[in-house]
Amino acid sequence: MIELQHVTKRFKNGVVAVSDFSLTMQRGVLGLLGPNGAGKTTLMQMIATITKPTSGTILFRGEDITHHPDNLRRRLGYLPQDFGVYENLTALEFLSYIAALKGVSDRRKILELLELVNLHTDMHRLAGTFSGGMRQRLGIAQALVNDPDLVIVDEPTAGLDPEERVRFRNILSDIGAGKLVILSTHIVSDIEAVATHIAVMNHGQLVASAVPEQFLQMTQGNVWEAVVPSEQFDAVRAQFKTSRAIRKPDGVHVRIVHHEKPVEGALAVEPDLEEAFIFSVRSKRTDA
Amino acid sequence: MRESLTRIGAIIRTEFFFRFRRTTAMITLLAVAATVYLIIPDISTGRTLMHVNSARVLYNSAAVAVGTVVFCTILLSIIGFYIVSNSLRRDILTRTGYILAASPVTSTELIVGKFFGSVLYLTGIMVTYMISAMVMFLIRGESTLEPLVFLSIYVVFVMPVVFFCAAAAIAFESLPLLSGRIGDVVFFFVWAATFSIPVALADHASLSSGIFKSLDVVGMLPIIGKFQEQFHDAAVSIGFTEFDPALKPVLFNGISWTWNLLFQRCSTLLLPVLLLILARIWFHRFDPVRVKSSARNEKRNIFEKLRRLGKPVTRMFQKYTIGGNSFISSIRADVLMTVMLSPFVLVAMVVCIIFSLSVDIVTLRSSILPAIIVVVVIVLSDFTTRDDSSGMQSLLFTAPRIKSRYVVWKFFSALMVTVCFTLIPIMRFVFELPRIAVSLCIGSVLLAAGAVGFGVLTGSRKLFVAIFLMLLYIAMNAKNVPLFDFAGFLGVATTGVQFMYGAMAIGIMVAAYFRHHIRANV
Repeated sequence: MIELQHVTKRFKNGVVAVSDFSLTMQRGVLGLLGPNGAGKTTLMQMIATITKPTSGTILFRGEDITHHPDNLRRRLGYLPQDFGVYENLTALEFLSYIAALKGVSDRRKILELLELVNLHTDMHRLAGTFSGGMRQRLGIAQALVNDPDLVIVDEPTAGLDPEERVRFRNILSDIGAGKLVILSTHIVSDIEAVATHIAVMNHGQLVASAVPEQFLQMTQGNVWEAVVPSEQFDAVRAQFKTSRAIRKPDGVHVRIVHHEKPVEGALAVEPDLEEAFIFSVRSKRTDA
Repeated sequence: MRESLTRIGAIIRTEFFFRFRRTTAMITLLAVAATVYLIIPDISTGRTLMHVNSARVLYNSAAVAVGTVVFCTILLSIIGFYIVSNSLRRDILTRTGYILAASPVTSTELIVGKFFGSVLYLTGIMVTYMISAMVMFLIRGESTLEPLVFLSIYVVFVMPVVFFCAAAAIAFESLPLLSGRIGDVVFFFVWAATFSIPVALADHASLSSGIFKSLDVVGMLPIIGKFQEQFHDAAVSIGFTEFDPALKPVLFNGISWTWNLLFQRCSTLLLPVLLLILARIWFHRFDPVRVKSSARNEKRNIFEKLRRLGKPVTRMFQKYTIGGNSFISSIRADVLMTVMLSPFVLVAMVVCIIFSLSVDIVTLRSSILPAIIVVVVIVLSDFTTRDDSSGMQSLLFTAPRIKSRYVVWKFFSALMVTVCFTLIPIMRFVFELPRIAVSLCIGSVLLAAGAVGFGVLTGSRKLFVAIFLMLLYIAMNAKNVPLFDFAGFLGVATTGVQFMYGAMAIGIMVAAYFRHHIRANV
């Protein structure tokens, strides 16, 4: 559906935000993981036709979106990072506005979406009075209003409480069928349950791309669990990348992401997605 | 085509509703009605809307419509721009711009939609003004109300101003360099030029024809022409002016509509069209690279160069911001923060002090003081709004005593900054022209109150800049009218005028205080 071929974005000050990025994306939920500053937002903005790549090509159904963005824009839903709202418009007015811009005139569709995101009882309230979670739900509603084939959501759970995050994940999971949803985040738990494919970015480059199972397999044998005395814990933490640590009566139970046995007595354990993410980012850094 | 019109319609509707639901819209409409009430006085007070050689002009529909329309075009031509020039910035701040950029809406549709949204809003203000004038006519008029006379005069003379302001606002927002504070100041000079050039050209018959008439957005030439035609070289004065009750009132015949006049008014629409084309060319379509590059371009300007050059000097102030936990120390910290944020302030202070000390007292009053006021307006313009736009306000409210005393704190900080500019002139005036010293003290308080008050009330720097620069411009052109001498630079302010501006400063602060307490839930 979307094909990125050697996409690079270089800013005028010389900073390369995205470097030679190639990836093909099909239907499903693509979790785009990367630390802050990895270039995720710039990549999302290029796919969303907001900014153009310095070089490379982005194809949507075989058509170059840099030169012909309109076809994609008609089939696109985009929720930017830190989405705000027009404070003086109600949720219904705001959604109707975006619907009109996207060529949607069916009022029922707007009401259905407000119900989907559980804002139907607040649709006549001014959006300026909404909580962060309600704003994000309004954001996802506007992204879906034109029944898009491609949905891009950039860091959608930042600032949301745990309950809202779960609710948001469920909505994304529901809409994922039959569409391509690109979910950019640095929070692994956001994509753990919903992603059908995972891509990891660091320093503007694609460092890993696989289905979650393969992604976990790639990390197999690189995650260790050890029990270290409390007094040694700081030294271990300084030397190795720890993913988790729990203090227990016999010492600190620590999970370490490392390519070889980090400490005496450490046992190889099953990695989880967060550890796979840490491993892929760190191994690329080590390579570099 | 139909899809395109639907999209443009949606943008217009949203722009209109968004603006009309703001508190500032209500304040603006009330201010408009109050202005009309003031400029059409009861003739029993000895004042009138218009007089010719001291003989008052009878209140017929044509006279009241033309008299009020002159004020409407002057006011709307400057305030209109500042009211509607935040449309793209709002989309950038809320990130809604990204959603618009990723939607099928074209850049032309966006520019056209936002333009007509602004036109509709400004037309709403014009209609309020016109209806207020008609209501005042019903109360104080001396003949039958002719609504069509009002309507035709308002449409022909005010609509080009509405189109010009809306187009200038979107063009300035689209051009990186003019999208910020510099644009606000530049527009003031553009406004002064569009207002004064046609009047200047009226003295040169050869120039006042053809393309130059297209620059007469505010419609001064045909109105001056009409007065010359009917009253020849008589002195015409418009707006709350004193008249001689002994003289027989004169009748104003009104504007005779000719194809030439209508063509001339239509030709002024060329300027908005040109501005819209430029807006379309410059429009960044919310591309973050181009929006950020606009910030970088702004950094290349003279203010940014000054900022960089002065940074090592202003860093020296850093240590003085710390220390003490009193309310006064927090004022000191805010003043020093102003200097550290922009070394331009420090450079401007030094330059103003040098000039204030080196010129004679008359030059100081008539030339240097107005220049100082312009500088102070620029310096104070974002004094309150900077906290909100940088996301610092919530943080500041966590500091002791700041949340409940925010308006007072900001006022005294702004006053301190203002006094840094005006102290030397005040000290010089105290001995030689004490009345002017008093006026300047009150003017300093008014400037500080205006910067803080309008910032708190509207959440924008624009109203403050527009009101004070316009007031200064009118005062400088009105020469010896005491009413406009808000800081002593004309040297004609009476005790009553001083009292009025002092009361105005207090009124603004009280309004801002209550507004802040309600909004911040103090």
